[in-house]
Order: sequence, then structure tokens, then C-alpha cells
Amino acid sequence: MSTNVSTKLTDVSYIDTPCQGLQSWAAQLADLAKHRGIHPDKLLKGTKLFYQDFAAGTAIISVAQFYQLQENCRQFDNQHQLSFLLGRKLLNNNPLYSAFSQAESLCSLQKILIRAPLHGFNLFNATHKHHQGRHYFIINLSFGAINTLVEQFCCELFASFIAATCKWRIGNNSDLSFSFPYPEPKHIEQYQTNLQANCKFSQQLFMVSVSDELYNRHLIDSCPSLLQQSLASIGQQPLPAKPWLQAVREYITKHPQQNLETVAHYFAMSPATFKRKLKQHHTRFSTLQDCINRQTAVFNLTTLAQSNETLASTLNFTDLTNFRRAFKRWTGTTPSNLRCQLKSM
Amino acid sequence: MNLSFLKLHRSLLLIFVVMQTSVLILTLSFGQYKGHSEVDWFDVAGEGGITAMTLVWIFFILLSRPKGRVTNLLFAGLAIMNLSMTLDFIDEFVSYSDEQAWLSTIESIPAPFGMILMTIALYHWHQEQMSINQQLRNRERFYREHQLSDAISGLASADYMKSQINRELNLLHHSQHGFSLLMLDIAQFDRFNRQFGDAEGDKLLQEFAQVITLNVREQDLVCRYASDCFIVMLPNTQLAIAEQLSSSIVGALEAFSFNSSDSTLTYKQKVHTSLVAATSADSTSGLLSKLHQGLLKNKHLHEYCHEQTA
Repeated sequence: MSTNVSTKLTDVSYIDTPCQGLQSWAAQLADLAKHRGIHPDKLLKGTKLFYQDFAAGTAIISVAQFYQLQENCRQFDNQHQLSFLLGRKLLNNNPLYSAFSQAESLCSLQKILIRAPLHGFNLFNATHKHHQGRHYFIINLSFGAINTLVEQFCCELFASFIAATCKWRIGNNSDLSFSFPYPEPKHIEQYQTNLQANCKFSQQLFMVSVSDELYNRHLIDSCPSLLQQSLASIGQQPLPAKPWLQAVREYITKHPQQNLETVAHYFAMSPATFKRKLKQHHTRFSTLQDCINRQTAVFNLTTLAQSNETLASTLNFTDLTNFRRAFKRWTGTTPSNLRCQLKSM
Repeated sequence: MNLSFLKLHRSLLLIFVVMQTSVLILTLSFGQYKGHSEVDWFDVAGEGGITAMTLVWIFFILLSRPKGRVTNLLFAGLAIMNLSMTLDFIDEFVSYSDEQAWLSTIESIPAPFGMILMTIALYHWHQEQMSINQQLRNRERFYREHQLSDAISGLASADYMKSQINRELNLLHHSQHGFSLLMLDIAQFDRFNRQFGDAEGDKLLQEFAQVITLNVREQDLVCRYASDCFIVMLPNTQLAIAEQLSSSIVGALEAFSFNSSDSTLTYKQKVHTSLVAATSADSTSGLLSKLHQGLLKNKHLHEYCHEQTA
């Protein structure tokens, strides 16, 4: 997970760039599926991977291949449990494991993840906000959510990882709260039993929140010396290249007024190449802009309880009518309707 | 496709191959090719198709059944029917001299015997199925759909339980007593998994499923809801009786000791429960959510008590 805007544009990774460490997630997913009666050949269909490659350690896979694997999982896993099961195992075979087992608080865990999103964790990035005694993390997929199936799988994967980590280090998830961008799925039982936390659906963004108390609570079985030792060994690991789409998203967030040509120029590309790269990530410039605005608008309106006027000025609108029209385009509903929906929940 | 059952039937496969080879040798050595112009290709397609289909049936029977009397009878019936059909099929290509005309006369004789054997086999299959249904009564109730069962525990899945709750809710205003739902959850299951591995965790779930199934009544339905959470549906059961049943199931589960695969570990586990009685105002999702909230509350209460005593 990373929040810093990087201006270094030379070392970036795209959705089809091989991603170091992602193969251990893919291998675990294939084995979990196999154990539940799904043949590995079916699961690996269209990924250009062979099951034997995992055992031989020769499979280095890209995010696009991992996404294809997720789509295949959704097709054959009737109970929709694989995303949750894999979520508990994301730290297996990961250099972050020892630091995670020694960290003194959730806050320190989060910082480790930001500093070194190793072996697949660069798939996710988060914007951290704090309001009235709670920490909020709006989570985005660094390589984009190419379709609703993949978006849901990734949300479940990461939510399950967070819930399992909290349970492992703190013991319970009662104070954890998740917001999911999609409507309540049919397999709600997996959310109830695997996350054991407060879950809200149709929230327009994927967000995790936790209270100050839990975020800063000192974890008793931590050891500062061992943590330092683990951090030193993490420091020797090469950091993964910054996801290009995440860099674009961060640049647009910082410079909301710039048009496609200017942004493409900043990323040293012609507008045509820039559009082609966005298309490769299954998105468009206007979709990205709308998504960023939607997240800010929904968060400020639902959590910070901002008025339409404040919100419009935050998002650089001079006219309230224009703001309402734009809001409806982003979210499918008007600001007042969204407030009503929240009250009725 | 899982071909493991096929290995059990080596002798039957051998009999089948010997039978087919002898038929081919017999007919081809006595008969003469009719000539291209005399072959009726419509008959060839029809009879060839029937012969091929009976071969497919034999294959699936051997693939899906363990050894035993019913399997032998089904195989014998189908193989004899296939014999008749093969003779009939070869007949389309070869003609026999007058001395060997008996070959085309006898071709239809095996078929009725094969059908009689198949009928006897189906009767025994019915008997066998009744006994299996008895064993499965707590796992499937009135409806069978193999895609709705859980691969790890062999119990019904959450989707199947939801459809059954829906059914019971629809029937609620006709029945005198409402039904109750019991949710059971293994305490510290994630810790168990971390400590002993997923394979042992799955084994624990399987054995738990068996203990629950053994301790419920004939009319109850058990399902694995998700992860380490099970639901027992108790039809026509009021809350007071459901509570008694719940404590007897919990007693059995907590008394059960799990032995690891290498027999180095014996493990006893605590169980959290939640119980609700359905009313006609309830919905399936509402009931399940109420049940789950109750479970979380009991879990936190238990953890709190545990912390206090520690």
C-alpha cells in the first residue's frame, strides 16, 4: 500500500508487467481451489500458466494474469470462498511476515505496508483520513479494477487480509468497519463469518475504518528489537516498481484542473499512447477523474457530513447546479438522496 | 474427471473387452463384406449411435459406482444389451452364408435378457438408494442437487440452507410450531489453522460435521454456512426444546477429541452458539443476520469472561 505521490516516472509497472512475488498468491489460490475440487487446468485457463510452473518456481506472473485467475475462480467456486481463504494467507512466503508478527500497533503495521508493499501488496493503495476519533482508509486497486468481478474479488481479498491480521494481532474485529462499493452479494455468509466486522454495501467506495483506540493500541506480544531486525531485512529487498495507473491517479488528484494532453505530457507520452495505456487498464481519462471526484464527494458527504456548498467549493465548482449534475453523474444519485439513503440504513 | 472408481473394475473391463473381441472375430470370420452399394447408411448411423450410447452408459456406471452386486448387475445388463446391438450393427456391413445364418437370427436374443437383468439391477439400486437416503437425511431433506453441497464437509451449502429456510418460512402459517435455527462456531479456529495447517483444519471441519449429524434428530437439517460456522435447522421446534437440543449438541462437540493425522495431537475445542426462533414476520436474510449477530455477541461475551478470569 502506498500513499506518496512519486514524480519518478522511469520505473513504473503496467498491468501486464511481471510482478515479483505475485506467484506465491497465485500458487496458494490454485492449491486452495484444487483442494475444493476445482481442477488446476480449469482454474489456469487463459492465464498462459501451468500448474507445474508453481512447484518449479518458474512462474512470474503479471497482475493481468492474476486477474484472469480471479475471474476463473468466480466461475468455478460456487461458494465464493476462495477470495476470503486466500486473504488470510497473503503473508505466507512474504518477507513482511516477521515484521507483521513483531509490530507494536496497527499504526506501525500500516506504515510497514506503505513503506514496503512487497510481493503483491502494491496491488492495493490507500488514502488515509482521520475524523472524530476514527481512521479511514479509502482503498483503490493500483492497477485498476478491470471489471466488477475482479473488483469484488480484490475487495474481498484485502478485507479478509485486514480482518485476519487484526484477529491474529489483536484478537477481535469488533471495532473494524468495512464499506464496499457494490450491493450486498448473495454469498453474504462469507462476509459475516470471515470478516466478523461491521459491513456496509452499496457505499460507492471501498473503505476500512478503525477507532483511534484500536489503531494505536499497544500489542503485547511485540518485540521492538526483533521488529528492527525484520525492518532491516525488508530494507534490503528491492521495492516493486510504482504502478503506472496509481501514479496517474495521484497526479490527477493533485492537479484536478489539468486536461488529458497536459497529463499525458507529464507522463512523457503522446495523448494517443496515454489513451492506449489507459485502455489497457480498462479505464479512460474521464472515468478516472469521475472516480476520484466520486470518492472525495461520497467520503466528505457521508463521513464528514459536509454541506453541498462546502463540498462544491472543495471540488472547485462555482455553481451548485453544476455540482449537483456532476454528483449525479458520479454516483447515480443526488447529494440529498444519498444522505437520505444513509439515514435509512 | 475423477477416474479412481474405474480402477476398481479391472475384471469387469476385461470381461467386456474379451466379449467384444470374440464377437468381432466370430462375425468377421464368418461373414463377408456386403459391398459399398448395399450398405444402408441411415441404419448404420442409427444402430451405431445406439451401440455407442450403451458404451457410454457402461463407462459412466463403472466410473460412478464402487464394486458390488448392484454394479455387477447393471454392468451385466448393459453389456448383454450392448452385445445385441453390436451384432445388429455389424450386420449392416457383412452378410452370412446360409450355413452361418444363425448369427443374424440370434442377434436379438441377448437384448431381452439384458433388459431383465437391468430391471433387477434397478430394483436393487432403489433398495440401496433408500438406505443411502436414510444416511443422508440430515444433509439434504427433500431435495438433491449436487452443486449445492459443500466440498469439504459433505454437508449442504449455505445456498441450500437459505432455500430451505425460505421454504419453511412460506409454510410457517400452516404449521402449529415454528422452526428454530442454531448456529455453531468453532472457537479459535483460525488459531488452530495457523498452528496445525489447513489440511488439519479441513479434517477438523469434516469430523465436526459428522459429530453434529450424529447428534441431531431425523427431521433436522445440517449445513456448513461458511468457514468454521455450521447451521442446524430444527423444524417444528420451539425455542425451549431447541435450547435443550443445542446444549446436547454442544456437549457432544466439546466432548469430542480431535486426533491429528499423525496421531501426535489430541485437541478439544470450545463452541460458540446462537439460537433464534422464526416468526412469520421474518425474512431469510433477516433471520440469518439475527443469528450471526447473536453469535458475535456470545463470542465477545465469552472472550470478555475469558480475559477477566485470565
